[in-house]
Amino acid sequence: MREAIRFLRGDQIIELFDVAPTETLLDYLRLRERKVGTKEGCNEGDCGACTVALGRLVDGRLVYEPVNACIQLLGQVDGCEVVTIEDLAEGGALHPVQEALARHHGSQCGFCTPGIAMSLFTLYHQPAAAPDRKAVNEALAGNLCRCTGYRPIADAALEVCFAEPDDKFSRQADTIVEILSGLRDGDEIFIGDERSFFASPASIDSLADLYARHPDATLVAGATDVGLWITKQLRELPKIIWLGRVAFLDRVEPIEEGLIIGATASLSRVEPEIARLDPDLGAVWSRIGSKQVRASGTVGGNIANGSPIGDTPPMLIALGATLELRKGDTARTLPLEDYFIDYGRQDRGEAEFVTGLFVPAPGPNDVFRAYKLSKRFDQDISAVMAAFLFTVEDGRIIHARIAFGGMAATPRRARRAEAALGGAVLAEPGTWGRALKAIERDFAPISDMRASAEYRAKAARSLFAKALVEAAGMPSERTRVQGHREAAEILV
Amino acid sequence: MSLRVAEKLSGRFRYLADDAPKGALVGLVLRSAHPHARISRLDTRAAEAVPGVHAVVTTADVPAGFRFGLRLKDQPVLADGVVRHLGEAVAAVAAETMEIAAAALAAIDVDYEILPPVTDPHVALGKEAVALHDGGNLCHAFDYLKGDVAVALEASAHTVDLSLDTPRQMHVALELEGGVAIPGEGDLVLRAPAHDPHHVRHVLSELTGLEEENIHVVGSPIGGSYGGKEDLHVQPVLALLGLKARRPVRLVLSRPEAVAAGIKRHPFSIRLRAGCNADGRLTALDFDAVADTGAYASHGPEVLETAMECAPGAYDWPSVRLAGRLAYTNNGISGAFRGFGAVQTQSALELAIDALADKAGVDRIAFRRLNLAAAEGPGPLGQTMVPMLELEPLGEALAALPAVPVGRPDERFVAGTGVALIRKGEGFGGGGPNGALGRLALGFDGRIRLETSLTEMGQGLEAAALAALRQAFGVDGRDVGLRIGETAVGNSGPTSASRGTQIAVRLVRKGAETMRQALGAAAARKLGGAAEDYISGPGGMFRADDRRNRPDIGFAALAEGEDIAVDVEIEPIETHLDGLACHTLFTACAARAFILVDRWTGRITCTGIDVLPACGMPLVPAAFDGQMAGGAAQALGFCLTEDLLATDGSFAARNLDGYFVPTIADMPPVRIHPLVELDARDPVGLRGAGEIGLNAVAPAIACAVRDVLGIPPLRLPVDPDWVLDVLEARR
Repeated sequence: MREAIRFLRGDQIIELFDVAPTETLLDYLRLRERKVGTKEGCNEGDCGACTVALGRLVDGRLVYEPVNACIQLLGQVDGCEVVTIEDLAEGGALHPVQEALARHHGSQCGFCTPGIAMSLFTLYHQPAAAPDRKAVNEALAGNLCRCTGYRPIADAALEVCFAEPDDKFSRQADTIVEILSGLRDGDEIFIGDERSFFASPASIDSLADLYARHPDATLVAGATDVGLWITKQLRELPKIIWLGRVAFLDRVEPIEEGLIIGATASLSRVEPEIARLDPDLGAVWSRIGSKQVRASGTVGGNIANGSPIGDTPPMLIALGATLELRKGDTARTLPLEDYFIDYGRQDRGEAEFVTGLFVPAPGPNDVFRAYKLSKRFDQDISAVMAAFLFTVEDGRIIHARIAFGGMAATPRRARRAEAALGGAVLAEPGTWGRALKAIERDFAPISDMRASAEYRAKAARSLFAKALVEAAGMPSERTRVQGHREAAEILV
Repeated sequence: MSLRVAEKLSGRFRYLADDAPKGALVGLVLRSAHPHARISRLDTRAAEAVPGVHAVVTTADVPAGFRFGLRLKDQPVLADGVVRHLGEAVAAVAAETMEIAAAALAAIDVDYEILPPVTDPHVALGKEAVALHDGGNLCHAFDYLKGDVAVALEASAHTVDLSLDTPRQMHVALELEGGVAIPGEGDLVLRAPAHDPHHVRHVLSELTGLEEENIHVVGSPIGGSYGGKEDLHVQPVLALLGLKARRPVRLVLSRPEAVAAGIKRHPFSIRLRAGCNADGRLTALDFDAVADTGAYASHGPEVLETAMECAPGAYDWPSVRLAGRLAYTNNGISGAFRGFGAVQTQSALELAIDALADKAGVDRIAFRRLNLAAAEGPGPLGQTMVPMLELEPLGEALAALPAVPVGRPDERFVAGTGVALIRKGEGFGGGGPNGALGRLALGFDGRIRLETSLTEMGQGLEAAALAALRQAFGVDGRDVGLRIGETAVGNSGPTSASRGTQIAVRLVRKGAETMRQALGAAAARKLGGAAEDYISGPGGMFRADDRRNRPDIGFAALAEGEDIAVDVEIEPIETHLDGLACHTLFTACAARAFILVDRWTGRITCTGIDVLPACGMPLVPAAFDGQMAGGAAQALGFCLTEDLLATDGSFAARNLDGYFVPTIADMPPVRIHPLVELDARDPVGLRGAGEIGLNAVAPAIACAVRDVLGIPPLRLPVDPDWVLDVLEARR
């Protein structure tokens, strides 16, 4: 049992015994270290001004990922290397990404600059990234810049981020790996007392045990949502159980029939594996939140918090995913769609927690489509999230699973449309009419700042028709097109 | 790389609220939870009693009836009996920690008597509306008439009717409004981002009773503003807290506070009627606009004036009627925002121009060129103006832009193109603070520096001023310096209206000759000979007839025992026209935008933007391009995604997750084609770059939407829902 967290900062291992349960990494950097280069722009993970890099071991390799320090709990950096803007320069010389930003005039007022530089630092260290604007867009989707229009920043990124990394971090990688390996002690962490604590169990059993003793504790995986409870809703969360160090809970395991995903596997770790099941999954996945959000946020969390607008549930429901939960010594599984009972209500008992899910791969006769429709292309909650799985035999749809987010109080299947689609002939759009009509009766969406109820209804029908058109392989249609990036390619 | 840039990139750069003296208190503001209410009771005794609280301030700490504002002073520092918008400051505390300050805020007892909010600017101007201010809800009016519009429209071969509602755009500077107050014995230092430190000092002097000379305001650097920090924000409350607590206080707004209480762009509701002859010559423009200034005027009257002055565009209209009304409502506060009212009216006008061109069967660019206003003036309101010879060359350049292939026709995407050609007044209209004081001085550090109260907010003023200094004195980067953005130097007026960089450079150029003489004279005193024998160069002064590699005397040595300085003054150019405020100096810009409309979802993607600014030769080309590309991004948001919707006086978004600033993926390639040669007769020779790109790109995108859909959008940002309806109706 440890009563402190430990992390690497420069060439020093920092050990902190006084960690308040909800203290954020940003407050630690600015108030305790007095390193004010990391900026606060929104305190909710929307602007990226507070971006720092966390170095972590993934399969023995050192991986740098960007996180929003404002919604990262300090306790979550246990076992990591924490890199901030002040750490990049070497002696008097700026880091290559900083140099490139300067050369291209990528900093005007400069307030977003530290965050942008840190995002580019992680891109610089990202192995085998394809040197194109798409990779740059993805790397910077979570960094708002209000001055430059991004043009010089993109130019700087394209210039330096795709070469073999050569900086002090790459040169000292072996040492850093060794230190981080040394910090992986598999110990339980408990800081605080029975009334208020930050705890980090190391095994599923100890987690089950701890949660059974403190069913009022808040389970935290990536804190991309819980972080907002703290900074936005100002909730008091005296007991925090962080799941990030629970062994095996973060597994990502491709098997013949599909993919096993542990509850704490980050969205970014799942991304390449899920994309292998179907390209649309990868395309939507790359638009969930931002790089910062995906580096921390987890599939388990995206499901467990029960939001009606999480992006993963509709896709996973359409694919027929099953969810595994555990309480004490008892585990159970259920179809994912049954987990969502009503707004803010899930099928999860006291002291019960999500351990993982199984996602079946689409079969050879299946056509899968997923569309994320949002006001802004990246880093935006979906107005409508749609996913379709059509099983086709001899040109007829014999089975359909259709699920939507943003259309009801929970992610939900369009049962009427599914039923009405039975027997529809892909080559004969006339046979789709009943189903296209039926989907209007499946949902009664609401209006909010992202879309009106009418638009949601229209878009749901429209995306359904698009999925059918694409499944039918109509030659005039560009398929698998999410929006802006592909649209821009038309101009080529 | 300049030191500043290196500091910004390495995280060493300090913004004004980053550092506070040791022991500084934390300031927090109590804000109204109602858009319109009477405060029936305000009791701060419990808050004052909280241990660790050093000051609680309310309107009782403010001189009776004190109001601030630019021209129209109507805004109280802390609510004076009535709250007029959600998030209005009611009281503030300074305490030893954030936790104590929060506890103190919670201990303040306020009773509100809730009043019905006035939320529709049209209703606000009606007779039955509840008056939010003593003078009623008409904050400002603008009327202009030339010729008989009704008759001219009647006689026109083609007319168009058009209406357009524009968004309440939010500035979203990444740096939040905040600052530090440091009170001394009978004086006060106030550090907070500001466009016009001298104006801030003046207001604080009136507020606190301290003499201006005992207040020192530092307003630079700014971590982004775009007009959002042009008005006073935290300064008055900070000053009150600091003086009452007699301790330094740091106060930085949270993003939700900034969203609720910060300044926004004025939403405009525009109706216009315009006509042309069969041959495509414009005949008449009838233009009505109602703008929502929210609870207080801020820069609203000036915004309305600029909007209406720009409503006729760059065109010659035989008859014009302009009527603008600025209404008070309970919808937050609107004020200055890059583009300053003009972008709203220009968007509507350019849509009308396209509609008329189509009706007349004339190419849209040719139609614009056919109707351009005369170069020598008069200006849009009949005023005399600095000749503007770049309109026709811009039209020509627009027509000559290479075609961009839009790909093959596609079932899913419909492509469209829009162009716009606009002009906008630079600096201030009649009566505005157009003049500027500045000073050139040789410091003991051996740097020739410009002293000006203009501020740096990322627009590149520092870089341009340093470049101008190097150029004027033929010296290196290490020989020049700046002292800017504070009240310790002369009053150079506000850094706004695209004038900052232009004024800074003009101050250098205007004072350069006298300064060169002063430098020569000092060299002569030290080395003998006459002033004319010496010229400045890298590192110091050189004998004019014997220019070697090393100066005869270095600048630091030259400065010893000398006071080498030149005061510079730029005289204001005033224009008054029958009481109407109007501009003398204009800047022109054209733009082209490409869009794709997704027929499945109604979503619009901008795929390319061309900007053609006519500002003269940029001093720092990368900084200049940055202004254009940055303005294009804000224009794109204005047209396609950004709007802070208000319902019953309450905004739909309370942070950035519900307000859609364009991200990098939203930005298409922005190509900049500057028109660098201004006419030799142009007396200014250089135009500000801050706003003009935004002003041109927004109408170009709006026109591209019309190009695709065949009808002009009724509101911006364009709603995908409406797009789907239009596409459906066309099938």
